[in-house]
Amino acid sequence: MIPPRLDRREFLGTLGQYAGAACLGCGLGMFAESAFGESHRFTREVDFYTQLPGKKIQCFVCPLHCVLEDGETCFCRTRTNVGGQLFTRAYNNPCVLRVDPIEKLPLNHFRPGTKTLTLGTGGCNVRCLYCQNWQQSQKMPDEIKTFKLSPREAITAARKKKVDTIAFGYTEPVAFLEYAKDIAILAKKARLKVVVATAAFVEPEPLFELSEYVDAFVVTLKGFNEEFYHRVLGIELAPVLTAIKTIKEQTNAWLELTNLIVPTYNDDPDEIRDMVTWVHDHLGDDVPMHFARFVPTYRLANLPRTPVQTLETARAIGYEAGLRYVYTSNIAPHEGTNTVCAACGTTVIERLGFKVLSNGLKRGVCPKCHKKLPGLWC
Amino acid sequence: MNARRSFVLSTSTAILMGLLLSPPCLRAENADHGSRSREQSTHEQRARELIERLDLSRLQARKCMSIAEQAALLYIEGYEQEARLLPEILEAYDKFAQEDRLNQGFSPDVEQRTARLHRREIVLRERITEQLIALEEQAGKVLKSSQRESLNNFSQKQRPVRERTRRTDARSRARAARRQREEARTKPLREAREQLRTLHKQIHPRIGPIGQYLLHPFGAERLRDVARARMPAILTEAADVLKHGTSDHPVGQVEQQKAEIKQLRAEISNWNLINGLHLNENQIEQITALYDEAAAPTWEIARRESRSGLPYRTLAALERDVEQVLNTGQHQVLAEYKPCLLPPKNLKDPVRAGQAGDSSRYEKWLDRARKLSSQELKKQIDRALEKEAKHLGQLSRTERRERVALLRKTIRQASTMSDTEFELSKAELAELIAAPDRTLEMRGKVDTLARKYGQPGIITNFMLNTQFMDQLRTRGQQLAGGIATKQTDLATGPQADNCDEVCAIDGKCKKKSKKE
Ligand SMILES: [Zn+2]
Repeated sequence: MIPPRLDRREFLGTLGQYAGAACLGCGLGMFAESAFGESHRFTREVDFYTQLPGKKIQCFVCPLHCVLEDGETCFCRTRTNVGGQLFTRAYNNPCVLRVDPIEKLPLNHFRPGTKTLTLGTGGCNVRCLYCQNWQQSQKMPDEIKTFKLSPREAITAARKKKVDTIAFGYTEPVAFLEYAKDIAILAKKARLKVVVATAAFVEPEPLFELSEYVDAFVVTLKGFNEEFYHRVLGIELAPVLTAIKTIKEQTNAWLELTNLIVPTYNDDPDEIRDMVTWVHDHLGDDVPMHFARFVPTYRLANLPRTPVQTLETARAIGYEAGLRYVYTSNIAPHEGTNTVCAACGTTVIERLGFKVLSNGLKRGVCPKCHKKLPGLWC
Repeated sequence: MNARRSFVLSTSTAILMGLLLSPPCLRAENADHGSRSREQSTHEQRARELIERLDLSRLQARKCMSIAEQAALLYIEGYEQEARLLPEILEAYDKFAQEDRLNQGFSPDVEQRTARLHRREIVLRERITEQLIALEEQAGKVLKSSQRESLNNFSQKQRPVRERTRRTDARSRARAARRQREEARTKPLREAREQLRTLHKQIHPRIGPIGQYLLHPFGAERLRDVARARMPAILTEAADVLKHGTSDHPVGQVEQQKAEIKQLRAEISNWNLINGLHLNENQIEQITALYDEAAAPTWEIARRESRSGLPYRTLAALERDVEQVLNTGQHQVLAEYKPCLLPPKNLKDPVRAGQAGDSSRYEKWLDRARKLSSQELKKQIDRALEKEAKHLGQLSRTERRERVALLRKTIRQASTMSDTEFELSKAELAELIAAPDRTLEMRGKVDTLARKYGQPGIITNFMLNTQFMDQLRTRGQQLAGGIATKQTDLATGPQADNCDEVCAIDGKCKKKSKKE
């Protein structure tokens, strides 16, 4: 018999009982070596799960709450039940490792023009039909080419590359939450900034715990109806909205949202209006919203690119709804990539794609009207 | 015919767009027969001029004739193969242009087909050019050095000189003096333009006047007169094919198709630029209004000015106005734009937010190179330099030596790195070895000088013409019209996997079975 699903309080209670501590490498290296012969595998226990009778476990990192038999791996492809304990496969083995402009996350109100060391691992708990990194996200970390990089080495690498931000993205950080968290903890000690780019299909607790070490979140709000989330992404919208609200209300992290507009799938102006209205009403008018251009890929390779007009319309709808900073992304050059002071209408940052061409802000203050723009500028 | 067949077999199956094979005067867009015979006679006249200038001996003429026979085979082969390819190209480019007009990317089959045909076109052009240039060199050896020198300024674009009464009045003298002063003032610009032309010729080798006129079937009669020989059948046949076409591909039809393709290519290239610039409705309105204001009679004046060698005042002024409408990013796109059939990445598909796999060419190249043995590496570097030379122009011996040293040093650095270290450093390393695009650099220099001397530059070159403006107006209408959005029925079509069915990636949903 599997015990009934735990409610939130019970769940939190079980954490102390079963879950491994959020330490760096929890002394299970020996076990991992002997069982699987690869040092990066199964060295880190997952923080949020509960044990069930018969060596089964139930994962509580994301709202899927996967129930796993011994030896099985979660829907996210990264967490495996090893003899009744849940371990991550996505540890010390990123498949993406890049030094990028911060704008590529995309973040427009967070230290513009700086660079970030961005990491991502194989696996994802979302199944977007149009995933642009599906070669990595739809594979287990062990199935693709990876690089050996411990959290400590990640910090050293950032230092060596002279970047002072570490970001988690490209693939879904929720799938490698443990690795991200351990790096983030060290990053904070090393006075580096931490950014997470996520679809936010995550339980509030793990998110909240991670957010303690995070300076900015970029959340992809992929659409605004449950059917789209279910049929095109394989997940649910409601938990995403909860997570976004959690970030805004309960953390100090800077938040930007991005919405990739897929022609004929999520480009209905009414739906876009509903979305930006929700953003305005629940998160406020200062949250920057990015509308990104879709490029045919993966299982939606037969669709056209998003017409530029659609992006411009979405941007206009965002402004109509009262948002003060609405951007277009993935088209360049386009005025929608520039930052315009909402108070006086001056173009304060000019960009070409992800490249900052000019930045007139002084510590976030508009040179013309001297009002401070929302964001984290230095 | 036997000789012809064996030659055809021994040469490539190359053909090429008429731009190469036909003499310049045959590059007509209309295909009526009357104009073709006019072109032929103009071409014959140019051939006659050239032969007169060379003052060929009888023996030289005979030798040239035998080379011309080989060239004739190439001209026939080129015509036939090109004619066979044209309908396919026309169809593919037409579909490509239709999609380009919408600015929503290309369907994979349309894009691939266009790329394939474009490739065939290029391979063909290169092969035939190469062979004709080889024949040209052969013919060059028949000539004396003084004869070869006499060809130096036999410009291909030169038109027969029309006899004109020289005006010696005061006004024209003043005008000549003005022109001289202007020429002296703008000398650096002319020199820069000349350098750019030289580089362009190096990257895109073209047949010179010998191949174009002396060895061309239309020049054969004059050559025969000097050689006092019988006209070889192949030369008559070639002239006949170029004049009338073949039974399957009459010349009128071929010329018509070529004209249509030329038109489509221009249209596509314009769309690629328009799509890459992302002009908004307001900008489009401003630019077209500026153009309309300056167009019509003023346009004629500008053309006359350009012909007279004086600064193109109207165009330059218009260019400065249009320049004000564009933003910094758009200027950058223009500075990097080259007319193209297949839009390059920066116009078509800029790197996207959150996109992982966007390693540059040089990053990939470095990754391969760092794993090679020293012998393989030498080959790899040679190949890379050969490719670069083809696209960016030949390097001098010193430049080449420096470039090889830089590549070797960077590869050595990359090969001592661990995979992780390389992954983190490859972008920087790639930037280090990226070859500068000398054409763009030089073009930028020309543009800066043009600006300095109040002459038209890049914007005039690519944007200020009637066809571009018409397309811009079409884009403006498209933008104003908005987009009709009919939503996909999400229940049909591909469905994402979801946890209704699975918990574990390959297992059943245990939560579900629990409920049952
Ligand atoms: Zn202001």
